[in-house]
Amino acid sequence: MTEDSRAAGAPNSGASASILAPPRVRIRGLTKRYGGILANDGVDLEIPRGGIHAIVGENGAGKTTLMRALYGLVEPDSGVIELDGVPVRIATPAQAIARGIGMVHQRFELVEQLSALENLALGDLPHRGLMFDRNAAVVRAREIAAQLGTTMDWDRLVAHLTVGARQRLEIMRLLYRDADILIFDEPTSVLTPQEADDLFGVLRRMAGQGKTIIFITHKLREVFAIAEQVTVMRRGRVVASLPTKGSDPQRLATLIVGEQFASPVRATTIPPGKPVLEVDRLSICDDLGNLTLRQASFSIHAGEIVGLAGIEGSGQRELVEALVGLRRPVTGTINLRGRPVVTASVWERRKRGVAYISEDRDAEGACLPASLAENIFSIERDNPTLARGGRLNLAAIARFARSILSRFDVRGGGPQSPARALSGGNLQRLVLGREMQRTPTLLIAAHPTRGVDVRGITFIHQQLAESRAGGAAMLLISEELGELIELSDRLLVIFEGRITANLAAGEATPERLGLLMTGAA
Amino acid sequence: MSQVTAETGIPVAGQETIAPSRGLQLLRPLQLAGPFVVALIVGAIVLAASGRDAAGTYWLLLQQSLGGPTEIANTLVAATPVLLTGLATAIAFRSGMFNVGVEGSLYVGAFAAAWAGFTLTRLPGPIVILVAVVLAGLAGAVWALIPGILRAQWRVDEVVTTLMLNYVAILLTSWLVNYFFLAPDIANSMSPLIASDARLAPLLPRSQLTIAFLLALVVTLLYAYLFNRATIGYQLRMTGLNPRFARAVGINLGRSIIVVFLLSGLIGGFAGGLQILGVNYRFIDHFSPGYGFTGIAVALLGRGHPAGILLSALFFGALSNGGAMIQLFSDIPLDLINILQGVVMIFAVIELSRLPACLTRCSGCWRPPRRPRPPSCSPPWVAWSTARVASSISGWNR
Ligand SMILES: Nc1ncnc2c1ncn2[C@@H]1O[C@H](COP(=O)(O)OP(=O)(O)OP(=O)(O)O)[C@@H](O)[C@H]1O
Ligand SMILES: [Mg+2]
Repeated sequence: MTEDSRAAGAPNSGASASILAPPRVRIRGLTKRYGGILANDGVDLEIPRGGIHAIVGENGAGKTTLMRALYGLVEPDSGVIELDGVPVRIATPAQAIARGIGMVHQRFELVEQLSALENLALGDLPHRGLMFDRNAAVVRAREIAAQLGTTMDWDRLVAHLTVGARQRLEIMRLLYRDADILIFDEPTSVLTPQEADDLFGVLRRMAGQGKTIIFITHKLREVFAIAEQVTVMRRGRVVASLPTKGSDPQRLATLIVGEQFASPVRATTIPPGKPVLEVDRLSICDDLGNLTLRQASFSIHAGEIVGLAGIEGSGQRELVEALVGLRRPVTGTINLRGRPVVTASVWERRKRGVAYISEDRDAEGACLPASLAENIFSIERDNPTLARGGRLNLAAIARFARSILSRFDVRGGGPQSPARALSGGNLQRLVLGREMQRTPTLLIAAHPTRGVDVRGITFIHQQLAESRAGGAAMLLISEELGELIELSDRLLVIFEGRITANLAAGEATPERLGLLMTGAA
Repeated sequence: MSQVTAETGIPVAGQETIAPSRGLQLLRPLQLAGPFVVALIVGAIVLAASGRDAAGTYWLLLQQSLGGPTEIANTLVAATPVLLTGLATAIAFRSGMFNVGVEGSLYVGAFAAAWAGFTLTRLPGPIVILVAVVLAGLAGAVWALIPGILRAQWRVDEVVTTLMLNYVAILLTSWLVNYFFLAPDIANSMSPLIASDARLAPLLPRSQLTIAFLLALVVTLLYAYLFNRATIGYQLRMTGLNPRFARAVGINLGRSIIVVFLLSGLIGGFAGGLQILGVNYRFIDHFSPGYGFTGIAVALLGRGHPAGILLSALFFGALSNGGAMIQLFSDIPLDLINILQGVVMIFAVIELSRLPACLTRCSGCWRPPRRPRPPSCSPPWVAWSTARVASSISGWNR
């Protein structure tokens, strides 16, 4: 079923590659099975030297698995990997790194207890005698940060870095190790549009220097923005591999989904009801004691989606944590349907209808080693059909979990599978399903569509719209300005810990938001 | 394997489990047995190197620990305290808390039971036993509450506090027995004997096998129930697997910590109390040969699984019973038995599942939880070895 639009000698920016040279990476007949699931089913892939190659496909299509096989993290059941025409066996990441292959994972692989600098140098420590040569590492780190066009607080523990900063650190680690083939698994899903643009600049520069870049994404406009060639995967197979020139996002979306695919329709707004959430002069400190949110006041009404726009680290995270009950504010009040909840526990708030989609799916939103059923049950502990008198009803829990898995189209495992086995997008659906099925009165959703495929995004947007129509109040945090503008009835802009603007849906444009977010307007 | 139909994403009905495949379930007992087998091989090498007949020694060990009803009974007696301390430790480990202070709970529990036994002599035996057991559990629980509160309230590292409180408990009970409750007629540091009808009656003649072992089995079942069926056990498990997640879904971590330390201390206290009522009949200064620390080994070796804990407790019981007896019949030093124990411990901590890649997919089996800090070493093991070294230096562990 391979649509053979694979052009010989794909457009190539690297001057060194000739048509006759073997491709930098060639994968032939790669198959990987997980129990009953064929994650990769005879995948063939060719990637020339010195270009940017995008891989797209639905959640669970097998993109991550394929790249993990190339990086030595997954042992394929069969298939051959060739580098420059030479068959190689890559059994461990160390072997992959030795061959110049580096990967930034969908799930961060950083040591939280070490500083950013230590993480950067980990595995290849510059040293003088037996001592860690910190200065050499710092020099190197500065160089790399400059190359990437970003900054980094090198002495901060990774545990205290924002998600975006961790992602940047992961990328810097590749550069540190002089990788020549760079694999990025959804690198932009956590970056702001501005950061993503910066990243693209770096990627282009590196491609120009002859590095080979493989780039997994769900955002089709990124494909057309930077990749020369795109491979589409579906259910473990490559269904198409084509140059981006002469194609368009709509056509690509059709290839990904395998059918014509309707663009989402914007749900009609309903007049907002009573205030559900009222925040008054809320000030919050972060872990280090810095005042990151100052005197924030706003309210969200029933049936209203309020978007929160801001550069990462402007205080959104602390605000969200305070609303959910994970962080005690310094001053100010939070009222939920007229009742103060500032001192209420997470559980008390959840019982009053607060739902929470965490920005950090793997560390906070889900429990990876636990089963899907256990993940779903986590907020259903007060559901008498699932647990009564302190006793779990395991059969009912499994049944309940199964109903959510099918309702939210979570593929790749049953109630007893570990959450770790799910692909990123499927895990996101699970978290969303868990939170949405309780018909929340207040939904706090940070990046609800992060890592979800085209069709899934439409689905999730529909769910959010339905929930709003049902009278839920929603606080939406997203780095996707398009998504924010499309979904929100009202937009708050947060800048350096202050809420600096409150715009109606009609007033917001990406440009205007961009200016407000950076404090330029 | 529950298949998910590709079109609908709806799992096919009637097929429940996905995670550990059938092959894995067969491999798991093997995986659990691994450390024991390796330990026996290493032990054989040590024996051979010291010029002894390895096979003969093992045969003697086997005979002395499992060779007949009395031998088996004595093995069960030796297994009882370490089964309980193993469960006490495992409850904490599975919940993500490194309580290495079960030894302390055991001491205060033992002292409380002995005190009831030699003070309440006027009451009928069964009532004294009941009071003694309850007091032992309470004393153990209260003792464990100290590090629990410190951790829950001020995030004080429990490895340090629990480890140190062991010494406090041992020296505190030593002080109590030497200064206030010394038996009048004996020169050694012992309390008076407990009332004779407060002793647990042997189930078998010529052995000290008592109802204590059955109680330990009941606790094992309760442990299994707690983590498999009870809502509170679910909360503890999630806390252990991912505390951030647990907090975000509304599990009260502070309460989890307190519950864990109470339960852990309670069982540790029982272990001490039952040892007094069933074996020693009085409190003896420094009486424990490190039951609490062996409990750490038992918990790790059993991978937190109830059956695994029972098996490793029986193994350690057999080793210590057989080892004690073997000295009477041969010139094999007890140190050799200690070497065996140590080797088992080392291989228990190595994740044998890491060796064949296919086993790492095994999600159902529990591994010793990882502590957030420090990343490169395994603290229970460090704590255990520190405790071992410290105890051999200070000499209270003989
Ligand atoms: N360790 C594992 N154990 C069991 N199944 C797995 C494991 N890893 C992946 N799978 C399954 O293999 C399939 C492919 O997963 P993969 O992570 O490669 O998808 P993906 O294309 O990267 O999806 P996404 O866009 O959601 O990240 C999924 O059905 C997933 O459930
Ligand atoms: Mg993926």
